[in-house]
Amino acid sequence: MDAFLPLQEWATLAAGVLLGVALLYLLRPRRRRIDVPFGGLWQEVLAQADARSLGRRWRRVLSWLLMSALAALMLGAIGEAHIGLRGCTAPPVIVLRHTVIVIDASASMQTEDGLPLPGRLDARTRLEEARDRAVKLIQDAPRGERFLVLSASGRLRARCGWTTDKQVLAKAIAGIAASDGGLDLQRALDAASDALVGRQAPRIVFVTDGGPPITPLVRQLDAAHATVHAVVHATVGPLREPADASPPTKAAASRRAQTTQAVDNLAVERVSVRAQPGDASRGVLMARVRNDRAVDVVARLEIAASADAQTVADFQDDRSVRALRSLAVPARRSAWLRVDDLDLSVGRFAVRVRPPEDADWRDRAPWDDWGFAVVAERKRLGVLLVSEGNLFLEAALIANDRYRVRVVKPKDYDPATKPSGVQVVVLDQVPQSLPPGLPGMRFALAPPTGAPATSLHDAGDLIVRDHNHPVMRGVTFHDANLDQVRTLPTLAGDQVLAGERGGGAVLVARDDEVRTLEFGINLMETDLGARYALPVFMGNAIDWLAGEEGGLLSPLVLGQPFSVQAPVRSQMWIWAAPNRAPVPARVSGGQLVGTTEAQGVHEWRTGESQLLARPTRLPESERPGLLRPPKQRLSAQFAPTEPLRATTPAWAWLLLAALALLVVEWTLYHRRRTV
Amino acid sequence: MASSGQRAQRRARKVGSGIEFADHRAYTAGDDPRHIDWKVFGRSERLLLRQYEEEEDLSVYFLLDRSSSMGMAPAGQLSLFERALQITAALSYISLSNLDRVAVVPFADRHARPQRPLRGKGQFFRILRELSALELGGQTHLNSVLRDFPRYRPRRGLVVLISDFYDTEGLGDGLRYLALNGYEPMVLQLADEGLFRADHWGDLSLVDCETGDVREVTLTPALLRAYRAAFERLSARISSLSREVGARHLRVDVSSPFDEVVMKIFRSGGFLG
Repeated sequence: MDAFLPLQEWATLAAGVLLGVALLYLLRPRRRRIDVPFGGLWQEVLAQADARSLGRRWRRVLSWLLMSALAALMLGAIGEAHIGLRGCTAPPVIVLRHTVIVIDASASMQTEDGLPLPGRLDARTRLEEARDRAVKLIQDAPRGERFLVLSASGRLRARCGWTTDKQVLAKAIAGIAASDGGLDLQRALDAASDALVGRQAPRIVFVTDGGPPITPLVRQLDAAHATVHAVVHATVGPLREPADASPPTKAAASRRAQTTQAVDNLAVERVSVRAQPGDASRGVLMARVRNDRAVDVVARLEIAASADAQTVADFQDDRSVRALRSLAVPARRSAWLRVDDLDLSVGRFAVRVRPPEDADWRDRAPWDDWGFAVVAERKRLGVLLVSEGNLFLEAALIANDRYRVRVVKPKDYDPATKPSGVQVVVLDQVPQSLPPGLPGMRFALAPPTGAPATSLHDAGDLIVRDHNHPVMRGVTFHDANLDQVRTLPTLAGDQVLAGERGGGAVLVARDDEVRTLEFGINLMETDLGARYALPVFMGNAIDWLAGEEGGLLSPLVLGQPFSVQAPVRSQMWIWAAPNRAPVPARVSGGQLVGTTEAQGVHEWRTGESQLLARPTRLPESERPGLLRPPKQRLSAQFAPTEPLRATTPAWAWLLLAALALLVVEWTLYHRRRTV
Repeated sequence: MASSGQRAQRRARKVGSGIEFADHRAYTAGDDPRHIDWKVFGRSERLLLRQYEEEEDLSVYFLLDRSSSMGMAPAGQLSLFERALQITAALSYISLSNLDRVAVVPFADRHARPQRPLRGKGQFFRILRELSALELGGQTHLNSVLRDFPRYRPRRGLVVLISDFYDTEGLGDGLRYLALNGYEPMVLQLADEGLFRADHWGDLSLVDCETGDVREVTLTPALLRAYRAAFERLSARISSLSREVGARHLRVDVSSPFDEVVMKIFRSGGFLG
């Protein structure tokens, strides 16, 4: 028991009061004398009550006990007793302080560290640990310290106002859930420092898993004159005041382990769906799966489809599952999964990656196991073909009615001028470079002007090196009867899609800011121009170059601002995010703008028009491979400098109990009054 | 009803001597054959006696309880005894006005010796003086008093017993004895409803004002309810004994207005002629 008074003084006072109560009961009180006209009637009444005489005798003892308990409870209430074992020492000095607790609620906080708890299938998440740590911090704070709780992810949310009520704070903290998005740390710290301006003894406690760098931002908090503590999972020792707490220090007690160690995690990085050429009802699904482990993994993949699903839960219905696949993913690399001949009559697809069934490890980051894709209306693309009359190439492009093809002669081509209405440029045996900022592909046996010379080889055939690349879907170069090929130099990040038997790269894809394809052949010197593969290949290539490889809209990046091109002009778009009620979307310059933290399929509607997007891409800071700290338990890391014991104010309960006893006494003795 | 034989305003059913025909009754041996209704015998061959109502004076005895318990009074109200005096005075005046004979017989112990009844309105002030001279004291022994009263062989008449009936021995067969001796008893039970509204709760010492006995109780609402139930049982016993001897029993609350009390007595019948 902890009380406002020191325990010894409180015990002395209690003993005195209880002794007084006992004395009052021991001293037999003088009864009031009442004259009655006829004692005979009372004799008759009392004779009936004699059966309860034993109870009457005990009533007095019971009454004494009740009154003693009542007095003890009242004393406890007056002394503001707390339940706990803090000891007999005087309570800490009350210092009014203002603390903003910022709890990281980004997607990485869903990560499960450690082994499953007894009785649970899953381990505790980082957010659970963070919540517990914040609650302990509040419980251990001296009286008079006021707190403000913020949860920070892509958006910032105040969970409660300034308060010293620890129950309110604990309830607010319990309501924090991790989002699917990233963390806007700058915004969170700005808001926290703003809330502390002009307040006494300001302090910011940032509870995070250590993803974002904190120290540079902390230096910007001078205006708030706040002491900033970063409680980073598994990296910071006991939370305590800096030794030189006066004057207010701006030093950040943050250390952080940003590691790229391998972790037990599989993730779906990208999903795309594309209709087959000539048959829009069937298509191909492509999914890129990343393995963050240090060893190769044969991942299990579930492909689900639905007409109207939006969230992960919607796709978990067994009837939605369309295919089950296994995919070998090299250690700490990514691999493409390709599922052919999918029925595209339902427009929404989800891919889930899981560890092998016999795995003895668990996926630590379940929040990146899903990817989503929708079959959307494909845009018409403007293609500029620069050729000296290559009818094979022109025919392969014209065969696809989605392309508006414009043909110019090489002498009329100016690489310094960006042609209007053109999304992709195709250069056929043209030495000039591509226009700046425009994606394109080059067919050339000769290197472009200024490029180093490359070797020419006799090659009868080409070997496709990457069948899973979107450009090579459904394409083969068998019996192409190539007379000559030019082997291409490759840079870091280049993808070799096809090559000669000797190993030289002939078809190279470069996925930089602007995508390019380099094909070291002359179509006029092969049989490829007469094959069905050429229109397919050109369709794949143009779509990939234009960023339309899946026939999809761009994925949204969770937790960060996005803008999506609205297909029709309207100011009244309704946005339905997963697990969210539809709200009016913000439209700016024909773009739908906003932020989202919900993973799943998003819908925008206006009138008859509908637009779908898939927010599956996580910000780089939230990738588990970058964030993973060493696996350590919080309890071991945060060795408390003093015993962390929760104390609960009990005076209100004592007062209530005293009142209850009073009611019992009142009822039991029927308003007994002794004089 | 027993009468003194002098003319008065009160009607007494007396065979033969009256003027106004009242009823027939069957002839029994010993009856005066002059009162046989021969006309009826001629028609029905049955011997019936004619009865006449005769207005005669009546002896009215007020047996007035002056024991200590009658002195209990609720705060700011009359005591039972004071109310009893009022009732006695009022009924005496009415009786005297009816040319009846009135005697006040106060009692407190075991004896009730009647004085010579007084007659005529002029005696009313004498009765008042007698009443004002009465003092409280002693215990109630109703059974003894009722059995003692006929021993002095007062003239038969109406005996109005005014008491709170707080007697440990009870009425016993006193009323029956009185009736068997030719008196017509009338029972006025004075009660104080304020006794059932306690001003004090908790541990109390209850002192019997007549005997001085002390009983310690923890007064609670439940106990007070039990007390009221006991009082109702006492009242029911008195009422039952009264009915057995054909007497009227009236319970009068001392806190009721005086005029209501008197009207209640009148409405009960038997007192007015």
